Amino acid sequence: MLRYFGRRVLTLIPTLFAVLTLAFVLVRIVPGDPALIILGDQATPEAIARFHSETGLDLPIWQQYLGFLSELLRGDLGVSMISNRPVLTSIMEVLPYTLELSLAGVAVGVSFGVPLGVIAARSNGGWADWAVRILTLGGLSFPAFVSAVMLLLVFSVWLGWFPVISTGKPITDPVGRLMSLALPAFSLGLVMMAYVARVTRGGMMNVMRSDFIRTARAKGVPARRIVWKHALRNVLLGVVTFTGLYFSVLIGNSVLTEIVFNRPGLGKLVVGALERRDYTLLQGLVVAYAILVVLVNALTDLCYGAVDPRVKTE
Amino acid sequence: MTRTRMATLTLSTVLGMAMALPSFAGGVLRYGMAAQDLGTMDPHRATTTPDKPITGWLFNGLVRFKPGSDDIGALEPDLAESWERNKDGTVWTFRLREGVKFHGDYGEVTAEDVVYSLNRSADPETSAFASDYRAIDTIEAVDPATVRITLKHPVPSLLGLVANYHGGNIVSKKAAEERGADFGTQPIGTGPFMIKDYIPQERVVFDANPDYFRGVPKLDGIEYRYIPSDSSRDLALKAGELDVSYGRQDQEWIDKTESTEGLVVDIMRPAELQQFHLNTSSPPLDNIEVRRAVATALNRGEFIQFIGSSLAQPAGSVVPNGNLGWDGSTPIHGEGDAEAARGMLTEAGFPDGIELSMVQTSLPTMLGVAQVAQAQLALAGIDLQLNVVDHQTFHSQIRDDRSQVIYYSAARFPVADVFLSQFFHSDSIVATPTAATNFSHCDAADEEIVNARIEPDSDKQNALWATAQKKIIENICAVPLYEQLIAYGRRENVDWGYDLEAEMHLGPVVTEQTDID
Repeated sequence: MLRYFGRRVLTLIPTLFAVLTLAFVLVRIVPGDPALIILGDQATPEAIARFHSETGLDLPIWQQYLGFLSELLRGDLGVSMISNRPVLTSIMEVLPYTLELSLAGVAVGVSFGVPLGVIAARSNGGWADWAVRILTLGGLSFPAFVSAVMLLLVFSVWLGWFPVISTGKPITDPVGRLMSLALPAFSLGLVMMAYVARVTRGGMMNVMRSDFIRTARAKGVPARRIVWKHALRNVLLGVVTFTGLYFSVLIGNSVLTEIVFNRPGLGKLVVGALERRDYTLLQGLVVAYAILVVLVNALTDLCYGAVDPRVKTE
Repeated sequence: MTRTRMATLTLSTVLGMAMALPSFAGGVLRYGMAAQDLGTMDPHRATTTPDKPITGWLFNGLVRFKPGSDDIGALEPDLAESWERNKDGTVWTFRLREGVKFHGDYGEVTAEDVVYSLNRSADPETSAFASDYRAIDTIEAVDPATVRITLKHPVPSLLGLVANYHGGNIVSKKAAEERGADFGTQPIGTGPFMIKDYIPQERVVFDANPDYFRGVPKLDGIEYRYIPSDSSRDLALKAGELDVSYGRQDQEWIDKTESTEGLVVDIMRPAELQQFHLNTSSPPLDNIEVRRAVATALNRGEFIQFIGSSLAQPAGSVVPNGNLGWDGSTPIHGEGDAEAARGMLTEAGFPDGIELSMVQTSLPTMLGVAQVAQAQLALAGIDLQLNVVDHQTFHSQIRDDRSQVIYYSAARFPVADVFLSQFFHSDSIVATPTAATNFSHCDAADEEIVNARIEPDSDKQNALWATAQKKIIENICAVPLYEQLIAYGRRENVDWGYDLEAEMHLGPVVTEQTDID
């Protein structure tokens, strides 16, 4: 296992390096200047020049790049160009919010998607199948920001069940924290739920036709047990693969969710950093995202073993 | 009990608990702002719309704009209780109010703090407004309660420079020195509210200042929340989670908000002047007849219709209305006469029309205005090519002199000199070593602008400013389209405690009189 992890980490290094270089160059090619944000639109050229020399932005780009890399190797992500706060602190402050949201989104996606898929497969062409297919089509076709605003309108403004602003609930207020997580998680998980339902439905239809299911039936195993135990277990491998792949997408989608529901998080940080051309913070965020995605992929691989014992022996 | 019933019961219990949670206490004003995060609370650095209102309740100046007013002629005592000037207006002496305390344990305000603050404002290392203070020669503490300012030449608007706005805000010397760059998140002033907590990306929390010299504030505090999404801010205001919220700046939003029960809209000055600057150094706009054709083809009335009459008001000059020295006597083009414009182009040697390029920000309201202009100009055979980019790219490209037509919206310190110098004096031409925001390369009124700056007689000074505006308008360096006011949404039960007609801080300032009924 350790060896396996070590190998993963080694393959991670060139990827991370490429992503970082790309990010470093990209944020600097985009026109715009953090100096104008700090100094305002009445800034004089001298003040802008001074800002550039203080932040090292006047150095040749390769020199800036080397500086960035050497700091990174020492584990230092630098300080934000705009707020002067350490980048690592800013990221660690909001990381739990994004993780919590993404995990809850996955939970919504899987815990609703799998049963829906199974029900649809069992009904196969019946009304339940159609209902699920229409529902999932709906889930797939609504952009996240539309469904999010609709959810807010119905559940927060009309019914008043959940807060509109989902921020600022400390962990010491678990009910408040959960309440403020519910709508964003549901909104984020909606699209995933649709995908998972479709993957599950397709998988179930295939598996239900296999020999071992026929054998189980012939042995007189109750239908319910066949579906939820024997068949589903085989389908879950596909669901886990999908979930792992989709988790990275979900972390990306969380950007929109965080904006609409006004939750702190990596996504909101990215948008703010982009708008303000906060180069250092953006670079730090790319590092954070890259590490997250790689970790998620590694975890997915581990899950295979749990779901399908055959993977372990290979 | 079946599993389903148990689940239902649990769910309804959770929901019930949530609904039974008490709502926020009445004493904290929840203020929603359209921004991702705080920029800075350092008053000498705060230049953005989201940062400015905060400085309005953290700090005081020697004098102040009356709450709800932007009238530079009606400034009233703030930290100074009285002042006098010598005959020619070059030496000003301010007597400080006694016993005013800084927030926390930073002690009483002394002349030392005032000297430190004003010098800090005049220093480009520490201030974004240093150029406003270039006429100041020395600032001295005569005794702990007296400050003397000596000027290189008389400045008729000197009181404005020591008002509770931008560089005029007085900070605690001890705190600013101690905290350095962190002063932006840990500010210490004398205002009715003081910083309690800053949660990045989320909010800034303020407590009432119990020692405020005008009396203990009626509110217990303020929560200033950063909510960048317009729809989320609207919903939060509607759901009662916000008391005040930065509005969407259009008529539709105003109508919708006003028709919602319990909500009202505050509309306030200062108006931002919306202008098309025409690059007079870039062919074919170097030809004044071509510029006249562009100006004639634009229909100024239609912009007001487009934005809506609640928020848009006519622009009468190339300087915002209400500025000291404003003069609206020169007629401005903008008739929307496509035929006449075509004729002018033909005479200027462009019978087939012209093509102009324009770097345009993607900010929705501004983009809409540019598109209206594009349609108007098309009728006269002028093809306005919009190169739409994000707002930061826009700011940097127009400063690189990459656009022939520049649509800029601005309000400045309300003295004509500031606007004229930054937008129309040749020293300020973009992409030069002394650049500011002269996008049109205009140099038609350099002499008047410089002479007005040091003219001690205010009538003569006004005349110089009027001539400058006339020359700039007649030279068609820019076409003023309209002026845009600021809209905020508010719950009815919030009482500002003053008549909110204008606010130099670009958002309603919370004072000791502000209350929630």
